[in-house]
Amino acid sequence: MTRFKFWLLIFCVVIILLDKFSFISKMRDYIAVYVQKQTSIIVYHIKNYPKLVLLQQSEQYNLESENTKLKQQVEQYSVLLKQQKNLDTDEKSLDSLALQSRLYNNYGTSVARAIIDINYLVNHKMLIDKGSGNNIEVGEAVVNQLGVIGQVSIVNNKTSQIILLANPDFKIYLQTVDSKSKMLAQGTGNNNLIVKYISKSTNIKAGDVLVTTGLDDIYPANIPVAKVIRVFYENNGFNSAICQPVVDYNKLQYIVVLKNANK
Amino acid sequence: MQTSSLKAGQIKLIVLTLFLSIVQLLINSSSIIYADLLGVFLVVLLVNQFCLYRQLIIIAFFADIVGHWYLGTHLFALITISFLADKYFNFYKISNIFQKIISIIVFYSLFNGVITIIGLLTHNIRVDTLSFIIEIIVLCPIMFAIVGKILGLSTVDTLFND
Repeated sequence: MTRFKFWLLIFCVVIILLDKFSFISKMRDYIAVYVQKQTSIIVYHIKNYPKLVLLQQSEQYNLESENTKLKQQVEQYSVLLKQQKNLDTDEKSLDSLALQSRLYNNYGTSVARAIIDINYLVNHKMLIDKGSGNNIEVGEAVVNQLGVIGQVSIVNNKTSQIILLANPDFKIYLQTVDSKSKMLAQGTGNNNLIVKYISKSTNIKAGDVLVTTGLDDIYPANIPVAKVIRVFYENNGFNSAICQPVVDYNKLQYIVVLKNANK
Repeated sequence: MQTSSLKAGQIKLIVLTLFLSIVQLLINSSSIIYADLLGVFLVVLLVNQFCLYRQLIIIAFFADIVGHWYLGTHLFALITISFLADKYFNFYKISNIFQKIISIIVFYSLFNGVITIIGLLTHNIRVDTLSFIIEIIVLCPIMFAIVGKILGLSTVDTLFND
């Protein structure tokens, strides 16, 4: 055993010298440096892992709060944008109403905002935001750039009630654009008007637009009122026609109240 | 049956060697202390005469590679102190735990001394008093406990048959 140990000692001395003075030493150094580097990196990651996790969590929290704020901002801006678009639309419709107002020489005009409520659906009546305080009077015509809407029926201090064309209590004199034949229209209560007692000789057909006559001192002449949907014969010797108002009440925003200056 | 228990012991030895290598790498990379865990492990194995020489030779080469010493340094130091350890083994067997730990500390000090001399001769010097004190006060008892617990020091009589 002692001999074996001596041989081992000699072997150790040989490989120590061999290791020191050969390429093995350099190779070992390279490997050692590489292993050292990798180990240091691993240790660094292990040491900093809790910090990284905390940092990631705080960053995530910040991002979440920032995201919430940005979403709120987007919401606010979209509302503002919508309001701006509505304002633009309102401005355009007001401009067109103002242009239209100049066409009626004998009539004073007053622009008001329409208030559509449940009354409109049930009774075919509508409110506007102007009343006796703005010189609105009962019986005045209400129109917009498309045509006739109705007539002022009740006036309060700050609001007024408009009776719409489709209301059964509403009556209006109309004429055809081509033949100027006069006729009386009345609301049916279901968003339409009916024109009765049309002479058989009157040339009227579906698609014709009926306009105001200008003879009643309420409406100026030639304002579109309704469009003929169907013409039919009644047993009393006259034709009748079902008409649809040219104004879509659902889209009303601003209206013009016309006051006859000669009254 | 005996063969299977030997194989299990060898597997434990391999696993423990690899584990100690990793721990040594981590300690040496992440702190200013140089801990020669495999060196202490070798001394504990030698003093307890637990392993065959071929196993000690392999672990010694492994310790050289992990500890950045020239190949053969640990083996040289181990063989050198083995002349004393062989003669001391009968006394060591009848010692109590405290005496055994003191013996391991003394043998490790000699082992470290030989390594330091080799280091000085080959200009691969690593003399660190703090590390040495930590090794003999902390690592030697811990290693003694670990080897006793995991490898089982009662297998002493199976050794040194070569």
